[in-house]
Amino acid sequence: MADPIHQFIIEPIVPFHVAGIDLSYTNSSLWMTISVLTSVTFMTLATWKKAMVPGRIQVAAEMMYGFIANMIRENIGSRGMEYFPLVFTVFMIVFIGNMLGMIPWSFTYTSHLIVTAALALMIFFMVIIIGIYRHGMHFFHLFLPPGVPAWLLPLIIPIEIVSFLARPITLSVRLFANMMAGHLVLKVFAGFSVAMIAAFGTAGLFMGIVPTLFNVALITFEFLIAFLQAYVFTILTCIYLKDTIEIGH
Amino acid sequence: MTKVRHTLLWAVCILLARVPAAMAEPAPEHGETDPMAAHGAAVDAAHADAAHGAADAAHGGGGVGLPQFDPSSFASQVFWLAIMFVVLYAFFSKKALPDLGAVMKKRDAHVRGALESAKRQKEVAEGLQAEYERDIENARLEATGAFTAAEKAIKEKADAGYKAFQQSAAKQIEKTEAEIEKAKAAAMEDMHSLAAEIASQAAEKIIGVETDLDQAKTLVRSLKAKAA
Repeated sequence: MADPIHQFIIEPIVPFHVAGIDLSYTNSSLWMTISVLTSVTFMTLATWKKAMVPGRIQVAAEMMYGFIANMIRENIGSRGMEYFPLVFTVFMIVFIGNMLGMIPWSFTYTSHLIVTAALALMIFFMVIIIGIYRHGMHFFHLFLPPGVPAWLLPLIIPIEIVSFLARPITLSVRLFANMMAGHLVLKVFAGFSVAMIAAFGTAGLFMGIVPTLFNVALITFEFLIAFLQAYVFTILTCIYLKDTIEIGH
Repeated sequence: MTKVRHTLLWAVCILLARVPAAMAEPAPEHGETDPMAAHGAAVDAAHADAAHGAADAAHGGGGVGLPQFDPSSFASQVFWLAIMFVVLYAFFSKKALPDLGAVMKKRDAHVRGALESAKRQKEVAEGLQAEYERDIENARLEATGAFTAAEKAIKEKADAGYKAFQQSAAKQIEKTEAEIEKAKAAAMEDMHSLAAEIASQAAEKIIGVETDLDQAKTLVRSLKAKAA
């Protein structure tokens, strides 16, 4: 019986260590490479002709371009376009990673907390560093919402600080947990079908159809989740980056 | 949605832990005796499976169930993610996005230019149409004027012709009437002469006298005058 956890195991492909640290090229690294190659190939093909009347691939790439550009304009404002390449890269890494994860026998690198945490912490520290660099001490007004009566401040400020510190945690756990849970459920249902056949023979063959059909629905749902979580991750990135452009109060 | 998914996940995981047991041979190495033999064996096997899975994962490193919480792979994952991120960022920011943006901007400008020129041409066309309509109106007025003038001229000419014809016809009638009168007089005169001649010849034949023709004519005339 297949272990539903098995799909998350990191297996070294080219093991190597630097100063005692294991930096092996693993199946996770392999799928990151495939993801990067997919993005690069896609964008290269899309910008190959630079056609006035675009072909299918160019239209798809332009839609993604517009999608991210609009997201930035709506959530940060037009000054946020300086983060366009960053946000686009974040979206593509997460989105393609989620989508590649839907291929059977692939590895979903976004289902690992350390990957999502690394992305979330990068954004978190970027916001702090750029924010303080640009706004100086005014950056800490972030923790001081306007119009709050003075006697509430001792309560509000710690809440604001905690919610700020929780950003990288919620951002990374949301993506990781969704991807892991989704893939676990898929695997569990698939295993359910096989187990039915093994347990009940011919009768199990018919009973096994039920979890299989359920799995078909779940897979469609997982595709939605794969896109949705990439979208959520990206839009929250935008919202957090907004603090480097302007402090709302 | 996430909450629902998680609840579902755990429910399924618990279920799953029992299902493989149904197919796995009852694990004899776990010799706990259970009165409910089949069910017990299943639970047993599930335990064995779970323990096995955990052992597998633990074999990988940290001794925690999920590979996600095994820190031995963290450095490698972060390292490769950083490389990939930098590569992708460089490619997107230096090549792909500027290229794509340039094409979209160019198309935008092209479309805007085309729209503007269309607008200009429409204005020109509207000007031409107004001019054309003005010309048509002028021509119509001109035609009406010319028609009225021609009608008037024709009427005048017709009136003049009619009047001239009337006059000449009246004159002609008068002349003809005079001629008729004259012819009538001449005819009457002829009749008188003939009557006188016939009378004188008759008198000569009957009574044998030579009669004077002029005298007879005078007589006829007087008789005629008497009869009238």
